[in-house]
Parts: sequence; structure tokens; C-alpha cells
Amino acid sequence: MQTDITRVWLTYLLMAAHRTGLAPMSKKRLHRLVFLSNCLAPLFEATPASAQIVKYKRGPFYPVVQWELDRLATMGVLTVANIVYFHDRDGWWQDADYSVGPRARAVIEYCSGIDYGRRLETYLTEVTTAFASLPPKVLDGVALRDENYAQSGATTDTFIDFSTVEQNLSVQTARAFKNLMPGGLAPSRKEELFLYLRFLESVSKEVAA
Amino acid sequence: MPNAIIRFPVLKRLKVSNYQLFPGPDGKGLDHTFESGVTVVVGVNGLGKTTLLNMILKSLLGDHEPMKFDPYNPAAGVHKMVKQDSEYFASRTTNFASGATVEAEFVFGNTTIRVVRQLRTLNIDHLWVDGQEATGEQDALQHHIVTASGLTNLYDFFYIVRSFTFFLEEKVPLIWNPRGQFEIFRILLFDPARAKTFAHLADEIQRLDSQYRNLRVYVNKRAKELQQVEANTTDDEQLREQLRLKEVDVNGLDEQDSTVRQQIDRALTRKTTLLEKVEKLRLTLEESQSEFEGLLSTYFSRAYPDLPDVVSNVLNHLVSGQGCLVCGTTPVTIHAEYREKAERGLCPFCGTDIGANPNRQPLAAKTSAEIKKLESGTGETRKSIAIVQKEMQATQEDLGKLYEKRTKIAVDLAAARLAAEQLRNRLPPSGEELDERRREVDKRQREMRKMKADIEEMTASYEKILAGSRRTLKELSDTLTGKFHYYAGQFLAENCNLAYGEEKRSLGQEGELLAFPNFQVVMTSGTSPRVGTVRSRDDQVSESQKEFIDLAFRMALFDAVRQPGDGVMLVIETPEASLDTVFVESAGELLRNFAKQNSGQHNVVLASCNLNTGNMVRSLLGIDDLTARQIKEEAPKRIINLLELAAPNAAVRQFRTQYNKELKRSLQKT
Repeated sequence: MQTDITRVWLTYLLMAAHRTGLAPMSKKRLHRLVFLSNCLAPLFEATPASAQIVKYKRGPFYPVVQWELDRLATMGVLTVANIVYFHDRDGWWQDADYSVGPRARAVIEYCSGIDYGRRLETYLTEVTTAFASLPPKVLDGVALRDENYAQSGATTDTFIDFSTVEQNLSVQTARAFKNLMPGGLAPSRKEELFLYLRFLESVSKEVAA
Repeated sequence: MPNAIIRFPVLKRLKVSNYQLFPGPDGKGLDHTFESGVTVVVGVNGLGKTTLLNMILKSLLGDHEPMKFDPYNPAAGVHKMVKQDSEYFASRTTNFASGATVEAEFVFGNTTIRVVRQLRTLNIDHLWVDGQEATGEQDALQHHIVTASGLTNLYDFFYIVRSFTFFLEEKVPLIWNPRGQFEIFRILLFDPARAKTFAHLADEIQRLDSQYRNLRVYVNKRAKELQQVEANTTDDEQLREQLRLKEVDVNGLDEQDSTVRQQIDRALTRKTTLLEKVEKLRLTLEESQSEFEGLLSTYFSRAYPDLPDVVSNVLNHLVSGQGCLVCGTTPVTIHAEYREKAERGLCPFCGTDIGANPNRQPLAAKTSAEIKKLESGTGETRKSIAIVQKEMQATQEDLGKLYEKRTKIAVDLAAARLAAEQLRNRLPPSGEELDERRREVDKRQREMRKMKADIEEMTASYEKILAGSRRTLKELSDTLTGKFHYYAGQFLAENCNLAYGEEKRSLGQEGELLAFPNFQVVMTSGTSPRVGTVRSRDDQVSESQKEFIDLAFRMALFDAVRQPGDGVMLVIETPEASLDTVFVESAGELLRNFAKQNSGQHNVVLASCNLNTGNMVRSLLGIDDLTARQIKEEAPKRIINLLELAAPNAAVRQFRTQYNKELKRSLQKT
């Protein structure tokens, strides 16, 4: 079941990335988008595919997600290209680009016939659209500034658990924007999502400066 | 004799402008000056007779009405006026009476009031008192109209105008309505301050009576419960023992619940720890495999340079032992085989010798050694992952069992708590609790006694004023009876008189019975031609008699209480409606004679009439007593002809000629 959810999650994300001009997407960027989509899922009452992550030296990365990406690429749901292996100061690593494959539409058509699939598609399209609206030069950096990932005291190898609303600092921050709105106004969940990613963009720029 | 000086409103002029229902023949609306005597509003059904009479009524009263008004029991309501729906006139037009006004001039004794109201809202636009324009808020302007009548509050003014001066469609009688009758006496015969105090006392007594009864129900219930508890002195040992055992159960289950919750917390913590461990192991494995694949990548890319990315990815995963991307198996155990085939120049998938490939170079010895080392390391990591995953599965299963256990305990605990609560409720209360209950009942009983004393005190004050009213009405009795006898005699062949009587009733639902004065009809009949019998209900007279006996009573009362020199007005809606043809002439005569009474005064009798029978119009105007010249002169002054003034409805458009002929015939002598 969890495997199926992860596969559907990835297919929707890459289809949304394709539609917003982000595909093909590097492995690094894709894992970071998966991480952000997990963190912000409660804004749309969605259950994250994974609500825990180990803070990794190369940024957010999920071994399980990587396996499923390669499986989907083998099945023709996604495509994989530009596979390269390289060695840097952190050791050996592989990079590749992923995009939608010839069988992606059939998978999406099937899943969107189910209520759960439709709701998931709505959320993942929104989060990818919000992500795609950021300037290209910050796209790889925003996940590193995320409130869960960059939380105080978290260093490399820290296990970050955001499975409850109390633990999910990203959602808490996104929902706090309503306190800054003029009296009587409240942002919609879509606005909360966009405002939060704009906030990450501005933090990324500050850090870069 | 009456203490109050009441001036009744008498209409002198009515002007309706810009109202769609009454456009008038030239579009200038309706403008009529009322002569002393009878005026008839003539029309057919649906032309606006009722609307016109209501317009006169509302020009006096505006849009306020009493709260919870019952004309048959007015004192049962509250003497408080509230704003009501004012869309009566607006709803009868397509433009919501936009810009429409009614202007009416009334005299109250020597005071002239001219008022202009918007028909849409009934708000007063202008108001003149004896030619001087008054200014102020709506309430203040309305108060000018009320004070012109000699009354001090809008409720009393409303009641007099609505129930005495106007006798409209629903025809609520006075003579067969003792409570309504007494309300009229209260207003007409008491001085304004006493009338107000009297009404206020009635409201207060009824309010307190209601509160007293509610409180008594509550106190009696509490007292009865207390009595039962006090009587039940047997201490139920068995019950106490049952409760003790049940409380032991509750405590035991509470402990179990607490233990299971701790176990769940521990299992959840363990699950998270295992998850952290497995995630970290996976990252370690990912790194090892990347290194493995990285070390082999140069070799494979040279050996099979044209492989598509997806195929080389499958190959890399197989060779590194990570898993089979085709079938999903992970890890694969034959990974060394693939590598060896490649090293020997065989196709790693089918084993065919693909010959010497100039680009294929054997792996460096150092690389081979590193790969071997990695193979051993990844194997260990995979084993660790498998162990942790097994642990995780076991923890997950434990959690499932613990949740199941806790649900069962929670259900048992809730049931045990409920059972203990029920047992506790069956036990007699403690001495302290009993004392508290006694004190509460005692306090409420004291409140009741105080309330009762207040009611009695107020009732005594009320009765004192009531006794005065009985004396006043007895004094008025001769005058009233004489006048009534005169008017009733105009209409009825039977001998008809009034008799003073008293209705005994309490003000609230219970309490002292008080004697409220009233007048009843005493009338002879075929079976008792010499001695009149009391007709205390309206079904004891015929339909024709009923309405006109009530009118005779009103006329008599007007004459008995009007100030010398003052005119009066009586507005009657379709008096012919319940009348047998034989009575039409005498009914007309009665109304004409009332208008003629106290000659020299300006008396107005305004009646609306349907044209379905011509006799009533003829009778009301006394056509047979007039000369042809007089008819020609008088008729236009005495008739408000809606056939000409109102917007024609379908019946008028179709039968206008016949209706005009009928009206013309009504104005001819028989």
C-alpha cells in the first residue's frame, strides 16, 4: 500500500512538473520537492507519503523514493536520462534526470478516477505550481531552508519527525500568515502554500546574501 | 360620570396622491372633504374599499400595534406598542407605493390635526396642529396626535380608535365582548393617570402570577423530592457494598488503562527509533551502492556504450546487487555472476560471447579489491536492514494488539464508571447535602410568600380602582341605557335595553375573583314578548340584529361620553353584509339619525358599500327623503365613488356600464 502511494505521489509530482516546465528534473531537485510536498501536505488535509527524514549531508533524500523512481522508469511510467556517477568530497554519488514516461497518462487517468487520487492530484499540482513559481536559482535551495529541515538543533544525521501538527513547523509557519493579514481576512490553504514558499525564497536569498 | 376628557377623531378631509390603487379620473388621486352626516364609499369587490378605510385608520395610528393583541381579551396582552409590518399599502401596488402619500385632516374637539404620511413606510412627512407645523422624530409627531385626543399613551389611543371608532371587516363586537368593553370603559372613564396605573397593575399582576405559578411547580417538585429522601431513612448496606465493589473495578480498569497507555507510548518510541535506524541504514546502503556502481560505471560504459539509460540502470542495479528493477526483487543474490560475465566478454543477460571489444578493459586490481570489500559491507548493511525491518514489523504488530486491548479496557471502564454513578445516585444524600436542599426549598418558599403578598397588595390597589369604576358605570347606566334604547328602537321592533352586570374573574390564571362591570343586552322576543331576557352571547340574537345592536351600543356610548359640542365619527365596513333586505331601510335610518344627533356638531358616519345591492346606498343617504335637486347637490358630497377613483379591475372594465347604471338607480327615489 505504502509502495503504491509513493508511486502515485511521484507520478503526480512529475506530471505537474512536466506541465509547469520543470521537467526533466534532476534527482536532487526531485527529492527536495518530494520533501516539501511531505511537509506541507497537512495544509490540504493530505497524509504525507513519509513524515520522517534523516537530515542528510547531500540535502533531503529518500532511498525508498529513489528505488521507486527507478522502478517507475523501468516500467515506462517515468523516464530516466543522463545517468552519471561522480565522486566528490562526500564520496560516490549518482545523478540522473527524471521526467514523465509514455505510461504516465494512463496511470494518472486511472488514479484520478478515485476520490483519493483526485484530492492527491489537487494538492500535488498546487505544491508543484507554487514551487515552479520560484526563481530558478533558488529552486534547489529552498528545501534546505524549510522550517522542519532547518529547525534549531538539527544537524547532519538528525532524525526529523514531523508526523504531528505540533511537530510540523512548516505547517505551523504557513498557518501563521493569517496573523499578518488585515483584520477579518484569512488566507486560503492555496495562499498559505504560496506565501510559505515565498517566505522560503526570501530566507534563501538572505542566506545567499 | 367620566373622569377623562376624551376627544374623538372626526375626519374632515382625505387626500391620496400618487398611489397606484387610487389614480383618480385625471390622475390627481383622491381628494374628498367630509360633510357632517353620512358618507358612503361605493365600489365593487377588489376596488379598494377596505384599503381606503385602513388608510384613514393608519393615518391616525401609524405602524405601531400592541404586542400579542387579542381584541376579546385585551388585558391579557401587554400594554406595549411595537412596530409592525408597514407594507400593507406598498404590497398592493407594483411600485411599492413609491412617492405615494395620504393626507388627512381630523378634528379632535377644538384641535385640528393635519397629517401627511408616506404610504410605503407610514412615516409622518408633515404634521400640523391647529395650522402650526410640528417638528421632531416620528414618535414625537405621533404623540401630538395622541395628546389631541386627551389620552396620554399610544396603546389607549390605538384601542379607542381601532375597537370603538372603527368597526371594520372582522367586526369585533363590544356589547358581547365584556373584556373588550371593560377596556373601553377603563380608557374612557378613568382619568389618564388612573387608566395608566390600572393597566400597569394588570400587567404586573399577570406577570407575577405567571412567575409565581412557575416557581410553585419547581418548589413543589423539590419539596416532594426532599420529602421522599427524608422518608427513605433505611441505609442500603447492600447498595453500598455493590458500589464499593464497582469502585474497585473502576480503579482496577483505570490502572490497566494507564499501564496499556504506557506500553503504547513505549512501543511508539521504539517504532520511531527503529525507523530512524532503518532510514540511516538505507542511506548507508545507498552510499555503498553508489560507490559500487560508480567504480563499475567506467567499465560498463566502455563495454556497452550504446545501452539506453533505462537498460544500463537495470544492469547497474543488478550488478550492485541492489535489486531487480524489472521484477522488483531486492536484493538480488546473483550479482557477482553478472559482473563476471561482463568481465569475460559475455553478454551479462544471455551469456553469449560478444567477442573482443577493443574498448573493454579489465578492472584495475585496486578497483576489484575495493568492489570485493564493498560487496561484503553492503551484505552486512542489508542484513542489518532486514533485522531492523523485522523488529519494526513485530513492534507494529504489538502496537496493533495494544490498541485493541486499550479499546476494550476503555469500553469496560466507561461501563463500570456509569454503573458506579448509577449506584451512587441510588444512595441517599449525605446530611450536608440534605441541609443544602432544605435551605434551598426554604428560600424558594420565602420568595413565593413574598410574591404572593405583592400580588395581593397589587390586587387590592387594582380592586380599589375597580370599585370606583363600578360606581362610575352605575352612575352612567341611566344615560347609557336611555341612549341605547333610543338607537336600538330605531332598528328593532323588539324592546331592547341594556342591563348593568358584573363579570367575576381573576386577573391571572388564579387568585382573587374581581367584579368587572359591563353591560348586557336585554331583549324581548316572540316567546317572551313582555319581559326581556338577557342575551349574553351573540348567538342569542339573529345575524342582522347582532351587528346593529352593537352599533347602537357604540352610538349610545359615544353620546354618553362625548364632550358637549364635540363631534364624533363612526367608520363601518359594508354594514349591509349580514343584513336581511327588510332591515336595510331601518339600518340606514339608524346611521343617519346618529349623524344628525346633537345637531350643529360635525358628526361623520363613514360606511363602505358594495354595489351588488342598491338599497343600502339609497338608505344610508336617505334618498327617499330628499328632493331631486337635493340629491343632485348632495350625492357628490356624500359619495366616494371608487368606480371612478380606483384603478379599474377586470370586473369594472367588463361591467362598468352596468355598475354605473346600478349606482344611478341607487340615487333615484323609489
